Amino acid sequence: MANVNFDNVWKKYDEDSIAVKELSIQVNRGEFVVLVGPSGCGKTTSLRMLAGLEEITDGTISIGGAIVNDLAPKDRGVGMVFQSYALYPHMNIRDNLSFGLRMQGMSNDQVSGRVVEAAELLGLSEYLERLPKHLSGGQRQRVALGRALVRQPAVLLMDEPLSNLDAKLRNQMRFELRRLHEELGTTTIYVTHDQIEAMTLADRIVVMNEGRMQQFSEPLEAYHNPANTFVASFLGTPPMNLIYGEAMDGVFRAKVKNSGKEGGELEIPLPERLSNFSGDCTLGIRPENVALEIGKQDGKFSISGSEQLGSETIVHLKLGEVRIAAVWHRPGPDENWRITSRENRVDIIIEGKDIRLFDNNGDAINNE
Amino acid sequence: MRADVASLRWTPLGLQSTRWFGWISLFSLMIMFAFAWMRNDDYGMKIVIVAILCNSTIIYLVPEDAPEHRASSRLSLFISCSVLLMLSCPIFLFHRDSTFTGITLIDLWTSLPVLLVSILSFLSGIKSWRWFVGKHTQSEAIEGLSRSRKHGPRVLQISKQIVLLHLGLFAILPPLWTLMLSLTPGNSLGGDFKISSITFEHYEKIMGMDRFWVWLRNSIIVSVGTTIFGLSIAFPAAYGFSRYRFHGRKLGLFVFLIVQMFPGALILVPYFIVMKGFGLLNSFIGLMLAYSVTALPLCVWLMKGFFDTIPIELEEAARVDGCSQLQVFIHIIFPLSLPAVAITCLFSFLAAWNEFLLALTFLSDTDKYTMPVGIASMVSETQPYWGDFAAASILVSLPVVLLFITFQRYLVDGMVAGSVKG
Repeated sequence: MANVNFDNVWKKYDEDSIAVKELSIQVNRGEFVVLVGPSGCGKTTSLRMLAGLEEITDGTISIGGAIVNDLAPKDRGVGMVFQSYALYPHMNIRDNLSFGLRMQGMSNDQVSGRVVEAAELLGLSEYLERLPKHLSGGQRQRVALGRALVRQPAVLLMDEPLSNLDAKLRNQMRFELRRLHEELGTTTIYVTHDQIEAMTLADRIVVMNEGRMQQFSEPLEAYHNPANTFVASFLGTPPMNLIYGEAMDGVFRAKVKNSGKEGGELEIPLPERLSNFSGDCTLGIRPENVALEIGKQDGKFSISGSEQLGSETIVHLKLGEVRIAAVWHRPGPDENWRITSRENRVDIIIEGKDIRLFDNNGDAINNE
Repeated sequence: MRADVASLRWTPLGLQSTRWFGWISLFSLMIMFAFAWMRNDDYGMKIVIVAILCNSTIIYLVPEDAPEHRASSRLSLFISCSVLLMLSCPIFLFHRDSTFTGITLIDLWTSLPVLLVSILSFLSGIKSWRWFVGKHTQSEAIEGLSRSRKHGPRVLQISKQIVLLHLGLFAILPPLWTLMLSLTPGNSLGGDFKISSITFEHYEKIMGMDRFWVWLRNSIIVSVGTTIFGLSIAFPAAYGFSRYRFHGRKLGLFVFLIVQMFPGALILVPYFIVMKGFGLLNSFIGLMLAYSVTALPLCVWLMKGFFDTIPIELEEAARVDGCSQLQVFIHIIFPLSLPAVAITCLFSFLAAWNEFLLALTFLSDTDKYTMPVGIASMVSETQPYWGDFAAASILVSLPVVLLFITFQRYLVDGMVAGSVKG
């Protein structure tokens, strides 16, 4: 177990393609940190730089206080789980698990002890003599995990380890990964594009976009108080509603720009903590915090569509250019019908505590 | 969809078969024509030309789908072509001419398919006359379609097998002929092979020759040396080309291909001059060097193609697991690329084993001859010992055949399956 520091790390392939820009994160001992972001955001590159599979252009990466920039992967004390598993096809599971240990020059007794231990931990004991091609996807995934864990690495790295599994198995493995982490307490850095994995697994998440870190915080903090509009729109399904407009005198006026008779002014009073701000800005509100008033004849919003998920119904509202998604929890059959009927007009109720404001650059405004 | 789609799409199975087999008989007719031409048999050539026309007409008259415009004239043309084709065979076989030399096996072999196809087309034409004139009923068509569907693939399969069988026969004829020669007493060029007179005298003679064993030893030294030397260069080179991106990578690969395109005779003289300069003429080292270099481009390309299929993640995993670059090479890449190594080994071995021109040019001592040069020297003596020659050829091929059988299981690809997702 060790802490991991990224200090102002850059990765440039050439002048035009910069994969990672001034990344600085401090991962504590035993922490589970998830790097999350859309594809091409630099999260995998960051992980590979940490593993030593990719050169670091600028800045330093240290593991357990030691700078590892110029160390070979094998000397960094990391274990890695690859997206494609990358099991050695010509070795059986036992050899796959023990390969790293034998490379370290460990004695045979110790090796087999560790392998048996890891196999038991992951439920692989009965498959030790098989070849990877004779295992199912989930089992291969476990072997890949076991191969990384058996070396008792200072840092465990995982690169989208669940993305090749089907949905059911993925949920199961996700749960198991968390359990393993709690049991072993290994410092873990995990890369995914799946925000559910990020939210559920992480102690802290690093949201990345276009090579830059957007936010580094606890998952719920990022969810409720996104640092900028990118984080707001990346986390959550459906994502946070973003409404463009202007704030003045403690009131937010949306740019409705209606091109017809429909609509009208949309004014949202701002809470006290944001009332000092004036100027162009973006208002953010989570769909589950938008309450609906249905059945009002003079409701401002029309309903442009709805998605019924059973446990909840996502209602898409429209007012001129403004589009808002609202989540209606525990809808009964009657309300369902009323919501989905497109003739209904709807008003929304928003509580001041749920409102977030972002300035023209997309950064969150905090006037507390 | 039209209700009478069945009767539009249906072609009687007999006629379909006629078309498939018709191509075979057409090919046979071409061979017949070639033989008639070689014999200066003008009358035979004329007959064959008429037969080819008839055969083509038969194929043409049975289209893939049922014809839109049907007429009884088509039927009469079809039947008359069949009859004409049927008659052409006996006429071709038995026509009396000044050049008539009797019916040979080849005559029978070529005319039999023509005869069978003409009979088939005649019978199926008569049977399906209603189809030709478009008077078949809907239920007939539906029934016929299901019959075609059931038996059609099998008939097509048979016609394909016949073609493939002949191609296969064509391929193994030369070695078969050689085997026959080696077992025939005397030194004739074949033709008088009898099971009862099989003899191993040629083998005994060859195996009793001291020179044969010397040549065999030379060949083994050169071939094994070439394989080892060539592989030890090609393996890392191919790995480099596959894994690293460097300046001149594409050019290098391209140049390799171009070198491969020069005919062997062209590089003979430069090789000779170079070898002379190094004092490597009449030596095995020189020969090995030349062979390895010649085989290198193909070996590199073969193995590069294989390395490209080994996922890079495997190497990265091994590096994280504690391997240096060399250990990755030994523990991961080499075991995984055994199929490629096997086929490349086989290729270099074969190239060196069979090579004649360079060996003939470089080697001047009889004691240094490799097998091909040695065998050739047996023929060029005043009296050609064809029987001995054939026996030696068979003996030389044996190691290669054995090699193939041993390496075969490595040639089966699929070792990489299961390593990554799938």
